Amino acid sequence: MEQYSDKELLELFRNSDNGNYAFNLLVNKYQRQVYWHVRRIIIDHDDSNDVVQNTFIKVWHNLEKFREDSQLFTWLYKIATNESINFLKHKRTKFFIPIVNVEKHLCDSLKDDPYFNGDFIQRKLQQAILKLPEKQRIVFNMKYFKGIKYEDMSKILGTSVGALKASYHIAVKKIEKYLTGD
Amino acid sequence: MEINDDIQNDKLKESAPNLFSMKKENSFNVPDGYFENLSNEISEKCFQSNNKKPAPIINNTLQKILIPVAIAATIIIIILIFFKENMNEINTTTQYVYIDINSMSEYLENLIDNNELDESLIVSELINDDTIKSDLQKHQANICKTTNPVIIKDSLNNNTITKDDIIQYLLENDESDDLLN
Repeated sequence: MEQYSDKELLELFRNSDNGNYAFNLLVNKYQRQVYWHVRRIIIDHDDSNDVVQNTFIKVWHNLEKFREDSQLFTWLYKIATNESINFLKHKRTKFFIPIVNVEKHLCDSLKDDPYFNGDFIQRKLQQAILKLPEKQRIVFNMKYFKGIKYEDMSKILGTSVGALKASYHIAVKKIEKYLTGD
Repeated sequence: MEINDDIQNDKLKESAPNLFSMKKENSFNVPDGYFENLSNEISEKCFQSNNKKPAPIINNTLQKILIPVAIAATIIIIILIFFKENMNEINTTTQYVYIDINSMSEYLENLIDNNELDESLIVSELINDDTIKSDLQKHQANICKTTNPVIIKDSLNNNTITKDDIIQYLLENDESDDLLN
């Protein structure tokens, strides 16, 4: 399939009589990135699938209003992040899970997850990441695994670059401490 | 591979050697053919939701105005109810303050003077009042011990208490105010 640039995709979506086709191309281009971003926050595959679908439904309804003030991918990540955070918030409320037990709940789901094939070390790393506060966890995942620039993360999360750097630094320290067993 | 190499490895190596030594691999996976079907599934849902999207009953602009107005109206109604209840309490309290025992006595005396109220009715009510009755009996018993027990005993037995007896009792007993209040 031909890979279109974001600009071309948006033009195709706006100008073409068949916006559905352009949207299909957009989903194909970004579905993996969005999925893995969501999966690292939500952990469970089925829940992540729901969140990804909701994310793209939102994108579909709002794509016409997208004014290209930011890059398409930061806009998509922003929607996906908000959807993920709202999903976890809703899950806490729905199942009366206290905030302190969320990470434990996610760790447990990781043990039984048929779609997690990491070894002992990888599991320990995920456990360490799950011990971080929610926003710090998102920052760490975005920087460590995806190498997203702080400037782009700032647009996605609405936090200053300085605060993000500090947040990542603290997260790294905490994870290192957990890994060394201190 | 989703892992981007644009990571500041030197800083990481320095501050977190254990983390640095780990492989940055993706330990999560997905069901077979998941991504092949995902885009179709998403597109289907999007187009369905687009067709099924109901027309809003109230448009967004109107909604933006109506919601604050409704909230403001609710707050005003709650405040009004609250003040109305408080005003009633204030009025009731005021009435208690201004009707004192002297006014009540004057009012009753005027009624009696104008023959609008039978004095004997008040006396009979007072006599039938258990508290006053027991006080009166105690008082009579005391007098009986000290002065003329025979007369009081008789009057108790006959259960005939005259107006003079009551006036005498009230004059001698300083607790009359307490009883009336």
